[in-house]
Amino acid sequence: MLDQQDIILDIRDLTVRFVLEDGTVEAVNGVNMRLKRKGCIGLVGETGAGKTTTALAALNLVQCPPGKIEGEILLEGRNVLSMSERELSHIRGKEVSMMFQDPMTALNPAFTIGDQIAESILLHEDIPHTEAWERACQMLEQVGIGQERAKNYPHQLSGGMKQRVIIAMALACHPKLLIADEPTTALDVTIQAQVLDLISELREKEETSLLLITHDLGIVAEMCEEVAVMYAGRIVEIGTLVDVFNHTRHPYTEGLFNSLPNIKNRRAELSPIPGMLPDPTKLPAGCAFAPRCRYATEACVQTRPELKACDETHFVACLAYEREGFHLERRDRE
Amino acid sequence: MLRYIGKRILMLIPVLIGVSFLVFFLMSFAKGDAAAQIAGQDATVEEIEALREQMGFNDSIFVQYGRYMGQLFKGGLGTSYISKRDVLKTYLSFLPKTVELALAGILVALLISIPLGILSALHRGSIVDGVSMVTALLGLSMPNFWLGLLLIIWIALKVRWIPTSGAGNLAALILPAITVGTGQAAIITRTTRSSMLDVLSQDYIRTAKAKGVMPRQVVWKHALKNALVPIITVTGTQLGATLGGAVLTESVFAWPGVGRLIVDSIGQRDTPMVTGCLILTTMLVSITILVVDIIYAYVDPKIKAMYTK
Amino acid sequence: MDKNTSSQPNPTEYKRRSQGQEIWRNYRRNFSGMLGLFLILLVIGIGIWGNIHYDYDAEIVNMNIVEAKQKPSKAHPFGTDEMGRDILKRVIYATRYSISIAFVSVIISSVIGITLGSLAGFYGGATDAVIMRFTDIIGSIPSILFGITVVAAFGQNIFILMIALAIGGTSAIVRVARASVMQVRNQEYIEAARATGVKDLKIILEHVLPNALSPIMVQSTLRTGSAIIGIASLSFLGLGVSPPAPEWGAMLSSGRAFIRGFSYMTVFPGLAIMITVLGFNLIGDGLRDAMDPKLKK
Repeated sequence: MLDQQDIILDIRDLTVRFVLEDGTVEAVNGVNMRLKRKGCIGLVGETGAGKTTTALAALNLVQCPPGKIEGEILLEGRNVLSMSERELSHIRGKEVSMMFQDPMTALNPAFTIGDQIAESILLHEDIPHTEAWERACQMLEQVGIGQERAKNYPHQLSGGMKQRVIIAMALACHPKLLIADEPTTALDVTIQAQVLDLISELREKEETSLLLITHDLGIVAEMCEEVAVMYAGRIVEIGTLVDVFNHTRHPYTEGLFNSLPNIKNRRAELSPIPGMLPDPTKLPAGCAFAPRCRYATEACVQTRPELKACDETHFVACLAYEREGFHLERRDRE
Repeated sequence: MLRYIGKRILMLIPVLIGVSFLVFFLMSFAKGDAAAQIAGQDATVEEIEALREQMGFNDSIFVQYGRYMGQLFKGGLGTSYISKRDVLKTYLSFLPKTVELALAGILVALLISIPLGILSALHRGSIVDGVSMVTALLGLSMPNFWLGLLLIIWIALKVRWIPTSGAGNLAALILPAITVGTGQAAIITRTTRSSMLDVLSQDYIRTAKAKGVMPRQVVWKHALKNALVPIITVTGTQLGATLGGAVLTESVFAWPGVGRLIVDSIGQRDTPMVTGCLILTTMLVSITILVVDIIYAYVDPKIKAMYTK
Repeated sequence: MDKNTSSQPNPTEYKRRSQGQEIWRNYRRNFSGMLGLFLILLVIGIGIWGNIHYDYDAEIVNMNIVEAKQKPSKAHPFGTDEMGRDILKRVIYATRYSISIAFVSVIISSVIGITLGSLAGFYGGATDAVIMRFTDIIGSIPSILFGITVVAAFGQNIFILMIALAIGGTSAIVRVARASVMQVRNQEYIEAARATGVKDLKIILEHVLPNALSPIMVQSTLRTGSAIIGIASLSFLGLGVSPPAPEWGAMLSSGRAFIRGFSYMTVFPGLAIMITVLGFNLIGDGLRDAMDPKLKK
């Protein structure tokens, strides 16, 4: 069992609903997740699965109303969801930092990048402005941008450079936890590699824990030690990298792997998962994946599966495993 | 930057020429005999006719206009038919009162509208928002001279020391400034609110919160600076309009500004005065808008980059 | 070729029809927009009734010194003016002037504005430059001063008022039309139409305008409110509708002399102006929201 001391982020029974005119969106439904210190967990799923909302909740950034949150999120033992605005502004940017999806719009167009990084520092440390500016320039160097660009405005930078500025801003105060929401989705492939390398490098230096949100399994394989797969606001499979990639258990995860193009067999047809994500305002009572699942039974439609252990580190939420000898078509690898 | 300003001023010139011709042309149709007015009540028909001939009123409109433009380029806006005083000097003597009213009005407007607009945006959908938007809409819908009259009824008739007309002392500025300012506030509040709502929904606001910026700072530092451009535009146009002479307010409160000068001159068929004043007014309004554009460049780095290339 | 294609709506027509229905459906859901519509219909309705019902000579302009300056009462809900005339009746009757002059002037300025704006936006280049210069010239003169000059020049009658207000309000519509047309014009289907040789006028009328119409309609509605204030302003200065005909602004002007003690004379006509203009502003806002829900504030 993991020692409480070793856990930096503990999400317990997180449920987030948005009450709107057209209906109530059930964005996150009973998510449980733990991240070890210095560890890295990848949160995988399609757009709309609830990954970003979970991450926003970790910083208590979900707009309430129209949002309604239940559950607890413990950051080093303290519940983020019950902190005051003042306490939150102390931990945001300093204990835990978040990087968002689209670098093109995440920077304030009215301030220089140097100022924006320095602001991160000044918000949490009582040092003179000149010193903060110095450190901001150093951060820029660390992320591979020349100091002379500190006086530039965001519109003068390329997408990749903007993302690096965002990394610099996020890590300026050496946070213990970095939450990265699709950090490379909006970037060119070549830049993607650079940005990921940068994040890994800085992580190692500062021993920062990383919660990486992505829909790209390749990135997860490269960066993470643990993986959590989300579907319709619930975690359907969670385990170490080896567990989930080589001993896949959940039909949805299987579907994700199967839908990847096979480089060895270029002529094979692509096999996407049939059907569409369920409407988050009308989630079914049973397993949300059942309509699209080739192994589904009547029981799956009626009952919601809970996460059950396959072994010490690997958990899956699927009723099929109650049947004797059930296994997926995708074969286990070593 | 300087080149851009120079270009804008250059572009102003054809517009001013156009305005002068248009006004001159319109005034030429005005019934009412300037010559008769100048000659005075006791003049005989022959005297008036002689005067008309002498002043060139019998020439064609184009000749008259040509003469006017010629005189303009020699550096003068001419003299009033009626008062015989120099047009420019007369205009400038009335201008300070108009400027006083315009500045006081915009100050009143900004003091009300910016906080109110921001508050409405922050508490969108709440009672504060609802009430301020309804009030703004009502303010937009009422003629400002009616508001002036209402203010007189409610305030001046009850509070002795607030005068209802003239520009004698500072107290006399109060009601006219409120009258002018309220109408402007209605528009500026709505613009502030919508601009703030726009900015507050941007991603970089979320980034600021995630960095640990406190809510008040998010609004006043991160959001407002980006919301300013439309607010400045609208403030500039409103200010420009009042500098052009808040004719109706000046009429209600007998405020001795440029608006009254122009209206009276039109009534007196004093063409050089009217033409000259309208040219000067147009110039003033256009320069105000130019200043507004320049202020943009300092508020929005992207625009500044465009101008200093 | 199927000879019955006339029964099928052609694509543009179909789009326009369902677009109109869509807009109306959105508009119906907008409370303030419907309130505005209600107010205007109410004002127009009462105005028409008054104009039919009241006897102009006996009730509207007849001087009746005996009853002069009476405060509001059951017999005269809005009181009487200095000539003894019932203010309520005059206010109702005056609707005809404001509404008719405003409507006509806005129609004129819309027609001119849309034409000039479309030409400027569609052709660009020299056409655009020339049209915009003219628009700037007229637009630089503060509209009330322009109105006063025109009235001074051509006299004080209703048609001149309509034209003065129309020209004064054209520049706003030209700008909106131009911006709107420029946006639509750059779409690819317009390029395609031109490339296949469709005549320009047809393109403008059938493809560009229907799509550019929304902002123009909003602007025209708001202009109607401004026109009403404009008429009242000119009348207030004595340059609008001539007495003894009732007009809201003129009534404010004459009531002003009696502001001490008889303030009711300046309250009611102003209220009429405000309610009417409010109605148009609400309709304009409602249209804006109905036509593009993305812009909803």
